[in-house]
Amino acid sequence: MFDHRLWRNLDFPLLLLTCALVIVGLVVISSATLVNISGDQFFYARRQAVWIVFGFSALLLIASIDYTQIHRLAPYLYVLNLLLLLAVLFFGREAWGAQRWLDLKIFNFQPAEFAKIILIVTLANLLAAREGNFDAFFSSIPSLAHVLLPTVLILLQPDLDTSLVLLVTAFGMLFMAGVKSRHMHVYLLLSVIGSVLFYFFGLRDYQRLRLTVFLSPEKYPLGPGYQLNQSLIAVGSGGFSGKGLFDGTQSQLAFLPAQHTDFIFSVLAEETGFIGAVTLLLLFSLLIFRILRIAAVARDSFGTLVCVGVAGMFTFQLLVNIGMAIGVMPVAGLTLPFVSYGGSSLLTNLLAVGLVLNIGMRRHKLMF
Amino acid sequence: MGKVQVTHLAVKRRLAVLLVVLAGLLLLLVLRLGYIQLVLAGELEAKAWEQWNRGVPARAPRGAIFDREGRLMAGSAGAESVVALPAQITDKGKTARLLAPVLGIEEEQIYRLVNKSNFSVYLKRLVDEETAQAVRRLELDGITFSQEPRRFYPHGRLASQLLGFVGIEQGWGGIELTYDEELRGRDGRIEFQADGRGRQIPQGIQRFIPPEDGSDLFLTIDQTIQFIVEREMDRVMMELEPKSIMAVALDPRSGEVLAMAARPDFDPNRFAEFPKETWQISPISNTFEPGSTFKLVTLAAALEEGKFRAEEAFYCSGSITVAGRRMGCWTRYRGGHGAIDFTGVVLGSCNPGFVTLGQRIGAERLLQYVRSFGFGERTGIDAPGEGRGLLFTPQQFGPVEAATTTFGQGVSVTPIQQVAAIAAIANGGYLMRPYLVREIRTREGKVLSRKEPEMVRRVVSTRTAREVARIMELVITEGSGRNAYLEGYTIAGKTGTAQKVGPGGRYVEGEYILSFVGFAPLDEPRFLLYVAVDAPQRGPQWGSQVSAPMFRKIIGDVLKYLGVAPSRAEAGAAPDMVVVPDLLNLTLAEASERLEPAGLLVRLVGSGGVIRNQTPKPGARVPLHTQILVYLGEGSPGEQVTVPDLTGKTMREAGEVLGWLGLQMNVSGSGVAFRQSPAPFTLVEKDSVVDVEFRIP
Repeated sequence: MFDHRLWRNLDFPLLLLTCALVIVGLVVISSATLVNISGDQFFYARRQAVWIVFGFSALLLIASIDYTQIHRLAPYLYVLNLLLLLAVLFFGREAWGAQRWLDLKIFNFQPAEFAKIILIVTLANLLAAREGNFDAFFSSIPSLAHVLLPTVLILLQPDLDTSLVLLVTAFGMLFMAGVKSRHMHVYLLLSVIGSVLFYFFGLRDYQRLRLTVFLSPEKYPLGPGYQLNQSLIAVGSGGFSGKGLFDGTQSQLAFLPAQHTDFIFSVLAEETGFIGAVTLLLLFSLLIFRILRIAAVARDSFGTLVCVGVAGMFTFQLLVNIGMAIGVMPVAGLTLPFVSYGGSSLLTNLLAVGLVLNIGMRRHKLMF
Repeated sequence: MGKVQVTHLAVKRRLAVLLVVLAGLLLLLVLRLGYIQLVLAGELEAKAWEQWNRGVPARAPRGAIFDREGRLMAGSAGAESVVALPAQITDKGKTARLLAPVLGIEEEQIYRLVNKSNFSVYLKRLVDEETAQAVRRLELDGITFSQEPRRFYPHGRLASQLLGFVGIEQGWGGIELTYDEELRGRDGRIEFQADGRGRQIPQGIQRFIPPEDGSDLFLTIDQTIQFIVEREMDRVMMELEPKSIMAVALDPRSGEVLAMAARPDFDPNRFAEFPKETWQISPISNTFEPGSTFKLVTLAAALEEGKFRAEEAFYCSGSITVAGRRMGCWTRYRGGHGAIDFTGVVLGSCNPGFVTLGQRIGAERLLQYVRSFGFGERTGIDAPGEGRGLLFTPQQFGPVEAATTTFGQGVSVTPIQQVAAIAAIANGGYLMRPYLVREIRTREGKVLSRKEPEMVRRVVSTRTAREVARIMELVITEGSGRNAYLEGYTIAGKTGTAQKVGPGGRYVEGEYILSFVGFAPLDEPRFLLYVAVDAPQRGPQWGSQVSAPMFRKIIGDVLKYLGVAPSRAEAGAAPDMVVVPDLLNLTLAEASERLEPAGLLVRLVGSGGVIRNQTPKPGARVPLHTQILVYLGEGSPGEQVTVPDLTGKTMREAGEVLGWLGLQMNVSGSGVAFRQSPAPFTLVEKDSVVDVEFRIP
């Protein structure tokens, strides 16, 4: 089942980039949570470290299974996914006004995070099976239904942000699977109409405000605009070279809310400045480039589609998270992949990288 | 296989599209980052610094204002307010429970307040010392105090315009404004670093910058004199209902202002409830034609130039022609003063006489004297809003302008300029700069600065000044100022009746500013008083009837207060008796000429042009300053008569007036009349009954 010769095909740059991002994350989390309610300076850092070890083990494990066998599991995975999401709705732990966590006693578990990677795999499987048959407009309907079912369950939690990740990822995969451009345009148009309708009829006032406050945060310095203002102050006051690790006044002094999760980028930008922020963006660019490179050389369409899905997921979260911290995107509860604190999301992201590495390792049929 | 090839190509092309889109988006992020971190950095850094360095201000108590005797006129109650810093309170429930009985506030309310997300909240403002101590003894975390001075004026309206008031932490008028910096002191701060939840950072820098107390002011004002002046003003306001009154009292030797006031006034404790116009110090801001008072300047100039000889004969025909323009004397209706001497010119306030004096001095010299006396420039008194007035420029100053200037027309001046000019006559020829603040001291009593009297310039010789003062005394004893005569004292004075100039630059018909300026005692003047009453709605609009009696009442009380003893020769003498002149069938203007030298006061009833009746009757001998009641009517009384306005009349006066008209009176109440039926000016049959209600004013 496992061959030593496969390791020669391992994409080491991708693995190194992943390690680098995870370590950057760990350092910034340590800095952001130095002062916390537990009294232990490294409470969060230690927990994140445990997740890192766990996550890399999972990465190696997933990399070693032959991915071409995974498609057999796809239907079961899909059903498991739906069951987990339903479980959240019925037994989930409520926090911050939404039910997102399953209490697994040892740790809390966020099925929506795993839903992303599971959907990438099952959708890739579905699309690969129908490859070349997307000439008719209705040919992509089953794929759409496949995506919409888990998306709606996540939307019900409610977790608008993660459901958007699912939709955008799926959109990228459909595009890569060869769905005709004019069909894609129709979907795009439908999405826009759907979004507008949803914005006006599906959202409460406070939710709408949350989406639009980034356009004029100074109007709400203490209310909805508070996070954003504090984030902008943090990022801006970092200047060119930053205030130094562990020395950011905004993050150390708790002006920044959610500083170790959603606003981790602000802490990094404050403490390491423009240099640090651009370096991080560079690391991400290289990471995504490596993933897309594997997509290009993958042995089969399933591999290509999984890679594109993973790249799409990372890219979207990255854009939304950093965009939010610097005031060009609405405030959303999306984590910065590898960097933000949080076990479920780190595990998902490392699993995703494991899958991509797997696909890269098996790009050529091995001669036995 | 061909199909696979096509698919693979499509994949590569689409991957390339994805890469380009991705690169573009990342570039946008970098650009935005650069904008925030490189362009906006400075501004945002300042914001960050502000956020973690928060200060709790420790207010400096504002300095107090005292009068010249050290009596409090404006003070600050240094009360403390109880403040909670919610983030620093460890046990909110306990805090609320313990504070509730001490502060006398409901526990739930305190609990709600200490749970607010504000950095600090006031629990109770301005608590007394006892409560503050009780709160201190509880030693609660996150409960602190802030010093909050509250301005109060113990005498309410007294000297309100002069003192001004304190608006939002700043003086907004009067001395409170001019000396705001001295009074205010400097707020101190307790600085410590705070985090996003407002908690004090344990290792954060703490710094206490102590507040610097405001300094105390000691005014030149004498509270008692101020009170006497304002009391008389209130009385005149009630009796004559003028539009406004201004008064200034000064020590002519030093220029120290002893009292200054205006009506209508306001209460600085509740300043917002009064119209803004009442906040102005009108004695220094209002400008108007001085009228006859200005003749003293002409007189002084003429004396100084040797152009005035008291016994020199002068003939007043009722008018004088200057450069082709006829200028009337106020006596022109009866053909002028006739043959008089120059003393008579002054006593009779004869316009042609003064024009003649002006011509002798010469226009240029005259203007020099006017300027030298301080007109046309601000006196520089230490209060806000001083006016400058307006003189003719040397280019404009032709013979006609010079002529009108001699009797105080065509120029506009402020009351304080007139006061300063007359003070120069009183003190022997020195123009002194009037001032209000004598001393600035620290709270502990250390003198920071002391103002010494400041001479602006010498204006005329002592001899000239004494001579003008002597003639001014004649005005009191023999002339139009007889109603200001005060038994036992030698007083110098001069009435002024100035026409009011309306907005269009034209004279307002029938409205006058009636002023009186004078000083005492003559030998060594210690007290100078200027009063001006603007357009009284009741009674005759003559200075002799309005401002002169007011002046007399004030100066009488003030001289007694200052301990100026009446001269012995006069003190024991019986009161002067005067003969009541016959006023029947005279017009008011004619009557005034007979009443003024007689030293009698007049009270008018009716609205006609001719005097139809008077009490006491002509020829009666009455004491000086007795009131003569006259009735003004039209033609001869017929079957129908007009009901007179009885408001303010005593019961005896009302009865007398109604008696003349053949009307009956039905009395109710006592005091002075305040309501009547039928209403004034109704036509009724003779022998009708007029119901009059009286009440104690």
